Amino acid sequence: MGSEGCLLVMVIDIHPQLAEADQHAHTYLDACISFANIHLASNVRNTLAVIAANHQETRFLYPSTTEEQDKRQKDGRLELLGLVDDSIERELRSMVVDKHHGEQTESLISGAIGRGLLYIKRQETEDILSKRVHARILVVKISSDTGGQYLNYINNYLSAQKIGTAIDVCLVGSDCGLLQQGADITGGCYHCIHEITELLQTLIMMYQADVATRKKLNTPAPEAVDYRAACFCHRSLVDMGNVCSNCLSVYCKAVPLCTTCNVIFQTDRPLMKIGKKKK
Amino acid sequence: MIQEDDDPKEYRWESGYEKTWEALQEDESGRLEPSVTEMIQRAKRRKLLEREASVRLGIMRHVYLILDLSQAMNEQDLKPTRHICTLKILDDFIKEFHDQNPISQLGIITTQNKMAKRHSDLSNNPQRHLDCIKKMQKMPCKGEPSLQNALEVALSSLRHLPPHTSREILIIFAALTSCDPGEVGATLQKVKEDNIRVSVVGLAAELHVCREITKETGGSYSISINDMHLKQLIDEHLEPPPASVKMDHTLIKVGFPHQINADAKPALCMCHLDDLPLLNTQGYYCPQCTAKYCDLPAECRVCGLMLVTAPHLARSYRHLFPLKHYSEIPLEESSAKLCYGCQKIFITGAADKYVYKCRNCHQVFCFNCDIFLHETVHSCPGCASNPTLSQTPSNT
Ligand SMILES: [Zn+2]
Ligand SMILES: [Zn+2]
Ligand SMILES: [Zn+2]
Ligand SMILES: [Zn+2]
Ligand SMILES: [Zn+2]
Ligand SMILES: [Zn+2]
Repeated sequence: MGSEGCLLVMVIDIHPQLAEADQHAHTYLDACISFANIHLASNVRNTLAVIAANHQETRFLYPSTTEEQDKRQKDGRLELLGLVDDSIERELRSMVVDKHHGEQTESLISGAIGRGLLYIKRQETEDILSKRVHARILVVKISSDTGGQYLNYINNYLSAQKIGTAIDVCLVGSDCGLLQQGADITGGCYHCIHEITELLQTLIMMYQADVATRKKLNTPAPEAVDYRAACFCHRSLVDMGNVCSNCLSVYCKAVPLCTTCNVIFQTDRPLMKIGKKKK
Repeated sequence: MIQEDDDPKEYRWESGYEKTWEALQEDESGRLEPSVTEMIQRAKRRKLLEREASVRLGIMRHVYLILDLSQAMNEQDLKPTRHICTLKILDDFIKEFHDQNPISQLGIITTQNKMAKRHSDLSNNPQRHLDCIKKMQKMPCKGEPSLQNALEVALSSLRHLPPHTSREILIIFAALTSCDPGEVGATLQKVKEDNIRVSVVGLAAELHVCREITKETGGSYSISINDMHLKQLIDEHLEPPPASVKMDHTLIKVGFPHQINADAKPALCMCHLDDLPLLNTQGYYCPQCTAKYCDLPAECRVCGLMLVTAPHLARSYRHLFPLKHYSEIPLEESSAKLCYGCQKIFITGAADKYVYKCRNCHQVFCFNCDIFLHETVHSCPGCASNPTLSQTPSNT
């Protein structure tokens, strides 16, 4: 697998909260760009795409499309690395400049993953005659999540699983159950670090090997994933719930009608489907 | 024998392909392939368009597969035989069915020698059905089938189900006769009263009795032409059917099990009791009675609770909130230079004659992305990349 090369799609969170501490943004972006370079340099056939997401938009940093790429390459490798740096830096700058301070909500990571999947899908169709593209997605995230993009995330995970693409997740700061589910569903690796200074080291140690090679490494066992659902009425996680048989909305207690699809439930019969509890 | 469903050569039967040679164009490298592929893609898109209207669906499905294992299955018009070819298709169907309908159940009934036999009961565990299919590959096909007996077997199990479930029977029928003990009409009447939808996929020729059954119960009836077509016809039943008017709605109690935690004691799993599994702590624990299962979804064998995970439920949301269709616009009328998703630069002329624009976020996508998004992903990355649209599902 190693010699065939691998397409790495990096999804980088550049939420404005990065700017809160001066040094942070620099260390963070440096780590991401260095990791991208290491990926490209480690195998001639490796390819790369970088997509950034903040609370306003998502954008392809590399390959860049806003400027003609006709800087002629002379001796391949190093030039390409330079191009990656230039392109990422240019796009990042315009993305940060563009930002009109609205309400600072969560970063649009699910949109970026969605675009990444389409990019991978295209590489696969175009390369159909040569070989299967080994692609994976790496999400580096610093901001917290509110669960508002839930359905988008899940749809992405299920599609990634379907086309056999792993989604790796590296969180800086606090754990995120939703992204952990993504890594678990798609067979990716999930890790959360607390200091930005650990980022580059962690990326190299945990995420550089491709998915097949990882099996041979002695990586920490995955933690238990929380697969509970949030009820539609209070948004709290429940162990047991009631599900509308028409639209599958989750309620934490019995309700007379479904507020999502407006059906009225038959209350004269037992509420449980397999009501015959063996007692 | 069976290839991916987008193998271009196999789509001859598709209507609207007359004079296909006029539409064929060579691409830059002189290959014909891309334009053939494009035609198939167009047919696919048409099909997706038909699906748009979001009616109430019978999401909670209980489906019995009735498989004809009579002598007629030994015919070799499908390679290597109808029997093997059909089982191979069903193997894929079962996997895909449980994937797309995680809270639905499937059961298998066969009919041969004028009799019908239930081989696997209704369950949402694909492995059991797959094992059953595997065993059937070694079963000889003999005698005549009996539609009536098979329907009666299915009926006896489906009629007791709660009224909010969608009850379905899918018959795969190869013979041209059916040997019934009595009047099929009487059974049909019972099937109809119990609100069961019967669909038939025929391998040979159209039969009056099948036409009658499907018409009366609101099912579909189709005859396959070759293996690819057969697969397509069977796969049409992956989508949940519209809910019947007589269906009730209720709240169903489900459990969201916990994955292992450190203080759990090694235990047997309930799903593999028969194979004497090793004691371990990995698996999912029923929140009501703490029975352990190694895979979800499952129905707790101890307390009867339906065990699912949140993503399982979400998997079914896409049937309920399908992604709205993008509008097809000629490339010249769009200002976009490249596909918002895959970054492909649009080329005026041949390949990108039309581009596809999301009606919510107004981002423009290429043809392939349009298909992939509507067929597989079911959410729009353009909407997901928009601060206001991302918070509400793009689909509603
Ligand atoms: Zn609640
Ligand atoms: Zn509902
Ligand atoms: Zn088990
Ligand atoms: Zn239980
Ligand atoms: Zn595209
Ligand atoms: Zn959109």
